[in-house]
Amino acid sequence: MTTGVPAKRGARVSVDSLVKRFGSLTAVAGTSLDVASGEFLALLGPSGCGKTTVLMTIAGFEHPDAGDILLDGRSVLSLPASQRNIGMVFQRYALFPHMTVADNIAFPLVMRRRPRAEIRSRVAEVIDVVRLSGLGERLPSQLSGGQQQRVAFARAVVHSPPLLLMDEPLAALDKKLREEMQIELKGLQRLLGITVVFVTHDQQEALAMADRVAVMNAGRIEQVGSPRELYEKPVSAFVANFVGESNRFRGRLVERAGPIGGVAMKGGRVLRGLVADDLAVAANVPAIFMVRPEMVRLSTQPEAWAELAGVITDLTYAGSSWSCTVAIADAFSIVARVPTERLGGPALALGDRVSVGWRSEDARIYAAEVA
Amino acid sequence: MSAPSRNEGRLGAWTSWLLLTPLLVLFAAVFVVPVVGMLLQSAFDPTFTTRHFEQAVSRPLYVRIILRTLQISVVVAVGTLVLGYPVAWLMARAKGWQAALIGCCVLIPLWTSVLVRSYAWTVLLARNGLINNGLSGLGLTDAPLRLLYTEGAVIVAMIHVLLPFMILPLYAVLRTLPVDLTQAARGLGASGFQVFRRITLPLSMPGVISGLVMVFILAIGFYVTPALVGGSQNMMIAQLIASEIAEAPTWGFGAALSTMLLVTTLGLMAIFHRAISFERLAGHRS
Repeated sequence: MTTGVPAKRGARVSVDSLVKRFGSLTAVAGTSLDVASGEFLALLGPSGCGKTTVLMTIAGFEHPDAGDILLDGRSVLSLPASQRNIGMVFQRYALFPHMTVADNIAFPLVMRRRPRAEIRSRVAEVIDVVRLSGLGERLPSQLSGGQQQRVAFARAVVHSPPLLLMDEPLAALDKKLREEMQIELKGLQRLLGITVVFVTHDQQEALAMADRVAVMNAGRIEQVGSPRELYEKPVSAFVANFVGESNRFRGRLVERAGPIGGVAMKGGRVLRGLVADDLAVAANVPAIFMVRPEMVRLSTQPEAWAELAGVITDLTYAGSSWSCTVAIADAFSIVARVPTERLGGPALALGDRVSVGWRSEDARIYAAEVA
Repeated sequence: MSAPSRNEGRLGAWTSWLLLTPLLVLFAAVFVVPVVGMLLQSAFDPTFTTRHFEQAVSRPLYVRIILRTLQISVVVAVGTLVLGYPVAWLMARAKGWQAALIGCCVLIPLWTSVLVRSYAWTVLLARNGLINNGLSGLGLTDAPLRLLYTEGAVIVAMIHVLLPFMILPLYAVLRTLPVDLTQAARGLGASGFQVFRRITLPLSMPGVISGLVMVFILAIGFYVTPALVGGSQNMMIAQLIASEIAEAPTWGFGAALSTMLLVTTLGLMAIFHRAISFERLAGHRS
């Protein structure tokens, strides 16, 4: 941004105890969320968790049954979508098929009755920023998916809105282009200083792009935190399972020593880990034990740290690491991710007997979800 | 694998033609032969002559009828567009039983005989008809108004009869407009009217044009409704052709009028067709 258009500060967004029902279905059940100025927040969750409804309510396309939406401390519920001054990128871009790229991008400025000269220079500038120079007279149908995505972004920010909403904007792109666009969109957001609320069901995308991620499940926010917090300190079994990979076993909490607990599996084996929820001590409550594959250690020797012993039943090469499945005495299987370099020593092979272990602090125990 | 199954799925060329033969014979016998005969008769009576066409354009009465037909058809086409667009829009947006109800309201008149609907208008508009009785009963008029046998009556009745032919093509186009386009426009700052003017209307132009063409072409050759509610003072070209041929059998002159009607219709269709394909070129590709 080099011209006289002042770089606006991103808006603060507050979603306050939002409730939205569709008939008998409660899509959003009393959700609250604060987004700081200039922050990139991802709403992450499976389909039907209410994340899109939250976004549509902020945009003004849905009206909540209870709760409030505040931009910079002021309620916007009484304003129609057209007067909230929010930029929005839709899942399928929603580019106007009968208008050229330049006319699409100019649309928000034309609606705001900006002077013609200003519109022209501003559109040219934004086309430049999103690297679409020379394509202004094309129709959207003549562009590739990635280019259409850039037009949608340019159209959503051309009028310098303090808030940009994006509804799964990269879902239609192939994997490689999607990863490029993630970096590109993130860079543009930093450049513009705009606040972004970004809806996605792709945890990799959320972790890669967002400053903070809000994980939603069944109309509620389970956890809000930085990608690292979410991955390393998930507060619930749902979050642990949804973000990243994990080994996950159901059992009963049978022992408790300070923060460390033990979950008994069928056959009497006890798996130890950090008790994340406030489970009642030794109450024999149903619990879920989880450990990330990269936290699982394997050794062909008997080891002091070993919790279990088993036989390797599958080895899958994944470039930087091997994914190694170990069957524990036919009772269950556990997956370990072993960095490729560590396999340089005593190589693992199918059928090897191995010791399996982890540091108790690296595994987690949660109350079993009510299924 | 694909080669034999493709052959099985496709009828041989001979079989296809054989199956089409009855229709082709019927079509040739009752459509192509009479129409060509009629067209020839307008210029060969019995040898080549242009006098029928000269007669058609030299008599002020006939010119007036041709112009009136074109004028009424334009008014009717525009009238159905103005009245039909909101209905088609509502129909495209409605769901469940509401959509079914609107659909019934549009289709049931279409399935009802034009003759019945035209007679119904004579009952409504007559000197002692429902409207005049109602107005005088309320004390709004002293003498019955002259409603029937006016150009206004022809226009109103024709708009009513032809409305479905406007609504259905409009509905077909409006239904396929993605909702997120209008949402996007709203979110980017457009008012309801601006969304209509800049997004909905331009994207529904193919429907608008096909509706206009369909209604205009049907209107230009309309016979029953103008004959019943318009009377002889508000004659349209189809009535003129009918009276030339049926009452005073001047086949050659009737054929000349028919030829002019056909050429006008085809010419307008060609123009509209170009307009539609232009509209497609201008971006209504998805």
